[in-house]
Amino acid sequence: MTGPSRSGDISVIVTDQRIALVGPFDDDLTYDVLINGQHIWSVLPTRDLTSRQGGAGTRWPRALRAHLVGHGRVVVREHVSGREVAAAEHWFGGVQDGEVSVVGPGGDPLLLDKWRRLIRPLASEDDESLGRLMDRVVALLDTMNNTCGVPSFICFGTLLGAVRDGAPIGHDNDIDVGYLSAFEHPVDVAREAFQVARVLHENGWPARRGSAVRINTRLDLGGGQARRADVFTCAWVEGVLYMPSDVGVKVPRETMLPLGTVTMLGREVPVPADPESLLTLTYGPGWRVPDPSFEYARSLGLRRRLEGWYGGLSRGRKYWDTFEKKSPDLVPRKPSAFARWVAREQPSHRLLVDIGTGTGRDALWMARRGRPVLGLDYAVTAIAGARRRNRSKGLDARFEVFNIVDTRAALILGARLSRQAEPPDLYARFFLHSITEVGRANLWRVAQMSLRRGGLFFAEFRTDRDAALSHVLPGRGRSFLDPDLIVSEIEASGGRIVSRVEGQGLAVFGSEDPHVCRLVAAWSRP
Amino acid sequence: MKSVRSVRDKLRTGLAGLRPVPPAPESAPEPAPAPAPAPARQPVRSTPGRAPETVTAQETIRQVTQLRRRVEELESEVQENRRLNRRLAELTDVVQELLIPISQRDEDKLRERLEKYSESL
Repeated sequence: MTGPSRSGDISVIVTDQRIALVGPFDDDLTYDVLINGQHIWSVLPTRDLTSRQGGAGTRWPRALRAHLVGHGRVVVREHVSGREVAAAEHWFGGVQDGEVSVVGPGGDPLLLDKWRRLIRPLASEDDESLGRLMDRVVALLDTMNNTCGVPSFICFGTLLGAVRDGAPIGHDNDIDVGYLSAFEHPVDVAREAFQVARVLHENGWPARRGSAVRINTRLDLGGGQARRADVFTCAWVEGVLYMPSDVGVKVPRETMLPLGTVTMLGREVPVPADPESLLTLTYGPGWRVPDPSFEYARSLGLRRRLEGWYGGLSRGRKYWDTFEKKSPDLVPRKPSAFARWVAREQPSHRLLVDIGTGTGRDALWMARRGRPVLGLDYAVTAIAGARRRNRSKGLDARFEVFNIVDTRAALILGARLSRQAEPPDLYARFFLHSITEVGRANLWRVAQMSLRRGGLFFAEFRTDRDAALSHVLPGRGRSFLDPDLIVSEIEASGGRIVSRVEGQGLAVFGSEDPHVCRLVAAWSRP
Repeated sequence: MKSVRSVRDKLRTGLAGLRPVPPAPESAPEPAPAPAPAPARQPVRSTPGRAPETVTAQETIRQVTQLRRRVEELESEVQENRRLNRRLAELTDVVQELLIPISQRDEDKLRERLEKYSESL
């Protein structure tokens, strides 16, 4: 640590691990943290800092740590007034040459958002890009209002920026739009949302579903640049207006309709009828004062209600979306021992459907051996990577985004596969222990539908005996499964076990030798 | 008042050491009341003309434990019901989208619908 320098009465203490404020700072004021002139974080002491003797501090957020190397002049300033209140010099990691720089792969400055993830703030876009962004927002809302036929508007942070400044908020990184459902029962609200997504898709707005009432789509800015728009389904249920995932309030219906407009960077955009009231309900009476440290105070009841009605579709997806990017060399490119075992024990030229294909290492290896292959995964980045490798290797495997928790996806996959001239083989390596009971139930349904006339199901998964062993990766949402439970589920769904092998030495990964179970099952009559 | 304070103190001490109650299995019947320990009963309230009501710290802790377990069960039952909403919407959506081409025996349209539906998810 290089000792604090003082500016006014407050000082900031910086170490490799922590940042702390000492002195008469205001607990309820938002402070920006800048390193080498770059705004990287905004903190609210009462929420983000822990009091210790002589000050209040916190660990540097995990997402930031990899960037903290070299010299950094750390400045703390009041967000609203912009007044610098403290500064300190520090050489992170003891590195004397080089400056701390928190930038993305393209050199864009990054900022910590309210979930402490590094984002590329809209402030980093130039005026021309922001103009193109707003044109896309207007086009999206036009499609929603006029083609989907649902009253649609900007909401949340985008509405806040529009009403307050007539522009997107600089520290935001995406666009929020919403529409008001014509329905009041959650089942109908969700059904309508599925239809809206279909119409958006048909009109050139590919949507990715986060929950039954939240999708996101891409706003193409040209030149390979894009921003994301979250599309929220708002609905009145039993007199309460729900705006996922953070608002559930009793408001007069006139708050929402008829829609009005505001001007945003010179474009007219639709807004709810009474945006000021809605902003007060969402952000509190102080919404006119910018606060990049704002976090929703969402009640447990509201969270459970919305997640219960609509949620459960994107569990662990962020982890897998960024998995390969964070650890590009971690997953071997060579096929797994399980893939070789399947190829040796049950050679076939039937279609192989690799569910939870990940990087596609096994799927591509099978394709190279001449098998038609369909690789499925819910992580978009995984599918993009697998497609890229498929092309570069000159193979003709197919890769599709598929979410096993989405019952619609499971049923449609089952129907598609059941219509193949020849039944396929299903392959699920290290997949079962990454999904929930709901996902497993859907998987058995796919198997029931697609393997009725033949074909086999191959699975390799971590057993309950693996729980106590050491693991190379922490594994997000990983469970350890009792093979008897899986066997009983398969049998209950009409399947039968063809072979079962358990033990160590089957799936060695670096220093890790997990205890796994290999199952082969069939759903056809013997 | 002194006795009330005494029970409160005991309760506070008892609750402070209380561990989270593991959720009961779904098929488990109502938890049977645990056999009451043999505590020293302490009168906490009396109404003229009625026998004084008594409660012990251990009994209160047992009741709170049972209530916690019951609340957890109820919460998971409520959530289980809520999950039916998305499930029902998904099933209805698939049936609706595929039923028409099936009922029209339009094989080409059915194939097209299956592909398009899958792409739009």
